[in-house]
Amino acid sequence: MTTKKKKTDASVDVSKAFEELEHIATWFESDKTDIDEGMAKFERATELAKSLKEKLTEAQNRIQEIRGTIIDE
Amino acid sequence: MTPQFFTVSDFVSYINDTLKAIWDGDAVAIEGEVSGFRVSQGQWVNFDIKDDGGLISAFMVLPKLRVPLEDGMKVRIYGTPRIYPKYGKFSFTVDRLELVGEGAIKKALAQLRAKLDTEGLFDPSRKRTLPRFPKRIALVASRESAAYGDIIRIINERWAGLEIELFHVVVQGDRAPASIIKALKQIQKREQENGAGYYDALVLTRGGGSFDELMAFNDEQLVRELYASKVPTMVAIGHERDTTLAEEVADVRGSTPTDCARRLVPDKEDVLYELSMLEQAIGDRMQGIIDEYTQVIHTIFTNVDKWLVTVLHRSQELAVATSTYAQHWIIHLLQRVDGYERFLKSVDPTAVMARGYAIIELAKDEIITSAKQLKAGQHINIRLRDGTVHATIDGEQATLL
Repeated sequence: MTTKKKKTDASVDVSKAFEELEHIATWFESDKTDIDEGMAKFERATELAKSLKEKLTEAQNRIQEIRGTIIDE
Repeated sequence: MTPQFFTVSDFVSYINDTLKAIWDGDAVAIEGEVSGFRVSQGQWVNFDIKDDGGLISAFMVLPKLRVPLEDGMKVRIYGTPRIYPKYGKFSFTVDRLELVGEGAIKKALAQLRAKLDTEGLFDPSRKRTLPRFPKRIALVASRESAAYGDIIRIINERWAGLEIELFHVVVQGDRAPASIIKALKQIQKREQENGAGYYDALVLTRGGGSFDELMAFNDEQLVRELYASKVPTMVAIGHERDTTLAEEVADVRGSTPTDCARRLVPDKEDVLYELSMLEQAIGDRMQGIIDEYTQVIHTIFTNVDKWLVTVLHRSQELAVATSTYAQHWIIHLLQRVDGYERFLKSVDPTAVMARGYAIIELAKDEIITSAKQLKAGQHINIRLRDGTVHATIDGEQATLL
């Protein structure tokens, strides 16, 4: 059985992703009107947020798992 | 008849030869009182010997004088009567002198004791101790004496294996001092030849006897030989009254030959008992040491256990705390992501278009926000939720809606 690993899980760099999101948020708060660029940035930001959420949730689960082993001992 | 005559020298020789022939100097003595005693040049002794009816001059060499002498003492002298040729003086050449009467002898002995004491021969501080377990001793005794038999028997009863070298001596009479002195000298020679410590002790012993019989042990030269001995000395003479000078000068004095043996070697029964006590003491001490170390080891293990529990506990606490912090941190990060998501929703242009609104662009990056911006004939792009259509303005409207 092969497991299809999501690309985002392994490749996302959390700190860089946050930095990029911050950058995009600033773009949207400016007076820029380029709809195509805005759309592209919006899509990118949505994708980043999704990846981050997955990565962080996974981390949260791992922490929970490890914590379980510590407390059981 | 021609009268016979002698020259003076021949006459003196004749008389002297005659005297020598008729007088047995070893067997016969002259007894009398000493007067005019003097020593000249540290080597010649002159005195007169007299009684109520007569007087003779006596001469002797100092080394032959073995007792302290003074005027008034009664003595017996052995030797040769002769006329001294040069001066025609009659005198008695003394080979041997002995004191007569217990009073004189004791007086002389007291003088000798005082002299030797002044010289330090009896000083207690120079007394040596005998080794507790001697290996070899030099025994000076008469092999015919009961004392010799007793000492050998008792030594063997108490402690077998002691090597005893007997130096047989005469222990009584005129020849005794010389005989004992010879043995003492032999012992010193053997000690020197074989290296110091060859003998552990020199033992001089004899059974008890009368004052006269023990006089050999008061001989000055004998006492000095004992004093000079390189080997520690023990003198044991069986008697109850006066102590002899030999006993006083000895390092150790034994009262009787039996006592001498007792002082010389330990009793094997005592030694065995001592050993068993020592063994017990060593065993107890060893057990004590083992118990002590067992306790130390036990304490170490207990402490290590405690320490491990503490460390484990601490690491558990830290791990739990760290995981709690990690959880909070992840939650915080997720909240940040949620924040961005909410923001994105607020700026999502498609959300507005889904509700039926459209974006009108004159050209790229030029969004129309006012009707006044448009004129008839202008080409525009109308961006809708699912696509963009191109249109042309065909008229102008003066008012909104």
